[in-house]
Amino acid sequence: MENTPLITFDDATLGYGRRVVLPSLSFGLSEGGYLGIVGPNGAGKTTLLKAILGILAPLSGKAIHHRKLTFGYVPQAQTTDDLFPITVQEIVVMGRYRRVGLLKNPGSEDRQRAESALEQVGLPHLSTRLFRELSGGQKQRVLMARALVSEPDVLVLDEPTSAMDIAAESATMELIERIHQQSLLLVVLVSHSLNIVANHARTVAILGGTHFQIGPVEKIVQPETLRELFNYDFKILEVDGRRLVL
Amino acid sequence: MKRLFTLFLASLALVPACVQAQAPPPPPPEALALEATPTPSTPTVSASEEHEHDEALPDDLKHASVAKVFGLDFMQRALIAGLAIGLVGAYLGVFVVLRRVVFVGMALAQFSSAGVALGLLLGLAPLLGSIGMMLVGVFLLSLRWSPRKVRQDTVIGLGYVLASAVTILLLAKNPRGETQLLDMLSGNIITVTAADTLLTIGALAVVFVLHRLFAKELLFISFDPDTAQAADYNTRLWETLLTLSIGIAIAFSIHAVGILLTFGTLVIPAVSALLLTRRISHTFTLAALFGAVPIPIGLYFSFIWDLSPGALIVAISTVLLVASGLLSRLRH
Repeated sequence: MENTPLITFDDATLGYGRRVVLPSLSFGLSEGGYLGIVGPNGAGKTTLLKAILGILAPLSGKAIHHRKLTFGYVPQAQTTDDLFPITVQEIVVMGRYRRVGLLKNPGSEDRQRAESALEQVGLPHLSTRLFRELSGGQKQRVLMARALVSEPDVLVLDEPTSAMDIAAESATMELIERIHQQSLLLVVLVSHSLNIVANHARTVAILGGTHFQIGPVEKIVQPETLRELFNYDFKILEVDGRRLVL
Repeated sequence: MKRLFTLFLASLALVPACVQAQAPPPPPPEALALEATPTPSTPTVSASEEHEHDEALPDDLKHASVAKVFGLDFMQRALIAGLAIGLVGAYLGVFVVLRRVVFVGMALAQFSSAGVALGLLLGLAPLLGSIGMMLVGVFLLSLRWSPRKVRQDTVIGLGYVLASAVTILLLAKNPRGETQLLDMLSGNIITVTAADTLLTIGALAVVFVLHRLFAKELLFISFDPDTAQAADYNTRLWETLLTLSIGIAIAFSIHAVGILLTFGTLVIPAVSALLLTRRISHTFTLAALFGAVPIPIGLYFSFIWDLSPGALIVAISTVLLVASGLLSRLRH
């Protein structure tokens, strides 16, 4: 399924000023890929994400976008500000702003696309509701609809299941899986949970202090590799076709 | 409920303030006759003269009709400048309140004050100094420090303290500066000149047009700057544009009507509108309405009751805020 390369990191060292956060990264991301980035707080997940988005230039080496890419970014729902009286549709239409361009307003076609995106994430009935009145899971889906309506090449999700109960978490991850299967999107998912990444991503990047390893899930999510990375003996069980990292 | 109570107390606190703050320069009684004698384009009534006029406030002044009061040249100028500041200030205030940057407004106002002090010291037009220093303030507040070490609110506080210190130092070298600066900052809407009215309207019109042209971008970078940045928006540039536009509005408004009315229109109507609306577009419209409505009411009653117009307008805005809070409470 993976084909055209979209982003390549060539010996890229990431950091801020003189502070190196992630040294010498070399890997590539292609159309249709599904990268899961996992690591504890402060390990450099946000730094790597910024470099993928092209917001942060490497201190040395290269981070190459092979063509002009459109990113559909999905922030954590709890980072949005509830003071704003904005409806669900108004938020989803924000995803069209870049395509609409300066000095123009979104039209009926943009609103139509927003409605379709809301249908795609299973919330067609909520377009006139205030965003701040939704549950955490619903908010996350609305933000996903906003990312999708921008017709992205890359869907970037930052901790999409944080602060969710287990049912909402499963539903959200199934939705991301469905979106990935229906399109040629490159999905980049950041999570603190190795279990989520191990069961959904195709490629996994593990960040842990000075360690960084990237590769196919089957190769990285192995007791030996994890022991090497974290100096801890993990157990990996398979239950009903799903990996459970203990 | 606690919030409403606080608002109520705030409104009560404003009443004595506006009663004590002595009257605007009541126009000369002959001006009320609305005869061929033109009203001076710039009322130049001193504080002592004001007092004398208070003592001798004629009865017909206390019962003047709306048409009669707003038939006076200086009241017309006050009404036009006030409406412009009320409408645009309240519109911008929605951004100020939503972005939680009320203190940015305070800091920029302090930079403007430092500019006025500089202008007075150097014998320049205070407005020029005010705009110049406001630009310095926008530049300093736009600098991005290491967010882990110095938070943005700390930078705003530093800017405020720096501008205050500069103002005091500049005034120390100008014996008459303190009185002049205080007069200018406390302001009086009915002493606004024709030239200042035009200047203020021009500047606010430019700011408003910019905001309407880039409304969706300014909303996006305010609501979700991370996503906007990921969508290839230069959020730093847009944020600077937003701060600059608010700074320009503050500098011109303070020059025309003083600090109290400028901040009154910047903050109170936006909060009132946010309490009542469920659509961001409605919030902007209602805030502008809440910014404009107290202007003619406050001007008229300050005239016939012999009160400070700025303080009375702010008090009326606060009453609207309390009413909005109660209405919002009832609806929920």
